[in-house]
Amino acid sequence: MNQKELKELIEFLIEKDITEFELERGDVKVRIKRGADARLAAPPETRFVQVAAPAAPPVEYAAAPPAPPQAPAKAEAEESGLHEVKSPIVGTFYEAPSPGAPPFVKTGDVVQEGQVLCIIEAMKLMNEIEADVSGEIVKRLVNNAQPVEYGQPLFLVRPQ
Amino acid sequence: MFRKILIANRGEIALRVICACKELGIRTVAVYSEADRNSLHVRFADEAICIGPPRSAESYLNIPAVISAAEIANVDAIHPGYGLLSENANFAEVCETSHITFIGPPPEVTRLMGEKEKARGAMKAAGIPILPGSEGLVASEGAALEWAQQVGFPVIVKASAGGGGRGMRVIRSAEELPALFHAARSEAAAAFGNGDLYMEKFIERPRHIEFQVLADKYGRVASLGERECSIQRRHQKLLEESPSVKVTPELRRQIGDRLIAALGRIGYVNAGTVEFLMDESGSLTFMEMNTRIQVEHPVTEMVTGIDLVKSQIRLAAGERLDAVLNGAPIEHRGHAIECRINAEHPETFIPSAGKITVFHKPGGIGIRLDTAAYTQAVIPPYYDSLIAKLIAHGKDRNEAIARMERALEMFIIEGIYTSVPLHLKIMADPDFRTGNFDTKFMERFMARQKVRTA
Repeated sequence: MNQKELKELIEFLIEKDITEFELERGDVKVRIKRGADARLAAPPETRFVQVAAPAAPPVEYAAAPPAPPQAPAKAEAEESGLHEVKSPIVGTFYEAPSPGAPPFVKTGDVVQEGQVLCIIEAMKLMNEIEADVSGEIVKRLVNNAQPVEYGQPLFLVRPQ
Repeated sequence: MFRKILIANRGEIALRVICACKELGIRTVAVYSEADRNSLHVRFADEAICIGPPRSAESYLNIPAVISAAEIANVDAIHPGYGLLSENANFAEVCETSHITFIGPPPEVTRLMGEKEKARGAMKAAGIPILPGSEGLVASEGAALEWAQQVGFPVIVKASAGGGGRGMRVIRSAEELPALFHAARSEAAAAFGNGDLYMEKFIERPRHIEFQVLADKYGRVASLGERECSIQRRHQKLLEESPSVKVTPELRRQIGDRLIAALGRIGYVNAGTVEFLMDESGSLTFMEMNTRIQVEHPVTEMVTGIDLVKSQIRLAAGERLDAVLNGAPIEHRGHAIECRINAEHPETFIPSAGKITVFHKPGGIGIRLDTAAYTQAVIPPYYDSLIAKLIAHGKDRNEAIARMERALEMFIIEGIYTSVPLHLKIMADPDFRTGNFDTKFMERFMARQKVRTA
């Protein structure tokens, strides 16, 4: 697989919003994981791909922007008075109660304090994460099936 | 070999494990509390996951959080370091169930060694000398006297229902036994509602001698020699060294052989330390076993040349012991001393959290420093006060001491109080220098300091 093919593959994954992908073909093994927040991700030098041809440059972790991820979201939230709903646990973020079901909430929805916004799965247990304020969902900050850490912002809410 | 390891710890030991992983080409995942966001173990790991707020119970000791982090990072193994979850058999079991290798012994062995009476029983059955005890309650003054005379004075009588020094009396002769026995009984009844007593042999001036072992998954065990850890304050070690001036090559070999047989029988795997008390006549008796890597492991590394943390990882990955030890017999070269540098006042021992404004590390021949501290680092108040381990190695004990003194003098830490000045005083102490000490050394040392400043 050459760099052009790899680039096309990554673009395809982004277009179809595929979060995780693994492929083994002969000597080549490709594993790509996408996520909006790079805080969990390795620094840009991370290599996930082993390619047979030594000339091919290593691919970087597809969604890891070098910029610090915290700063923009926090600045935005502070400036416009938006409230961050943060993850109380480490785990995997799921937008819907089960695969294929409609998401708990979407941008623009008005939610009440205590309303379930998402699920974070930890050690095979599905934990319902509730809104800690009432208001409008302004933005979702993580992707479906993305790993999240303690304190990671999940949603921006305009409190009402 | 493992592809990726999560380090379930913080501070200098987390960094130590990261070093070993880097050398083995293993990717590392750090977990951290919000208080440790700017820690070196977070900085130098390949990946880092925040698992909770500052309090240990909600972060480093939070098993679901640690395991969840291990799952999302897709690790093969977890190294628990020392303290925290390292001797938690439940944690080891959860790792197993989650198909993550726990770098340490199997949970049932951890459990066995964690229960004092069971551990003593297992060691006794395997031929390791244990401190004589009454093996049950002592019903009467007569029974107490009989037992004491058989075992030899001094003895200690203890409350079976509680501790903390209450219902406890040291008895040094047959004449004083009746009165002290009854005093202990009354005190125990008053304090715990139960006057039941048991007895143990008492050692007036014990030395704390511990043996380092390594074992593979195939029943092979090796003894890497001893460490002397008698310099303690309130049961916390301050300083450790190897070899012990009191352990002859013959004793080392004898205990080593017995430990190899005993731990083979018990089914021990990975690194461990067997702690003994040495009495005034030089005999060793088993105290307890720590089923993990210890703080003072560098002392053994310096005299044997064996990387204990790398060994742990390799053994957990299924390598055989003789491969890990390079097929060579274990040799001891020179003498090593470790000083634990704590963030506390050197005289009052009050913990000193805060920002380190200057951190000039010593170096040079024979000096090793294991630390996660750095200039501008903030030492948080939530965790133990150990910030650095300064280790000196020399061709003999005198050279090790000289190197340690030189290194301590050149170790500049400002912004917080540290135990560096205390260690300099200990190095200068005549009893320390002649190796003439026991676990009561620090009490006598502090008393001498008080007299000096009075």
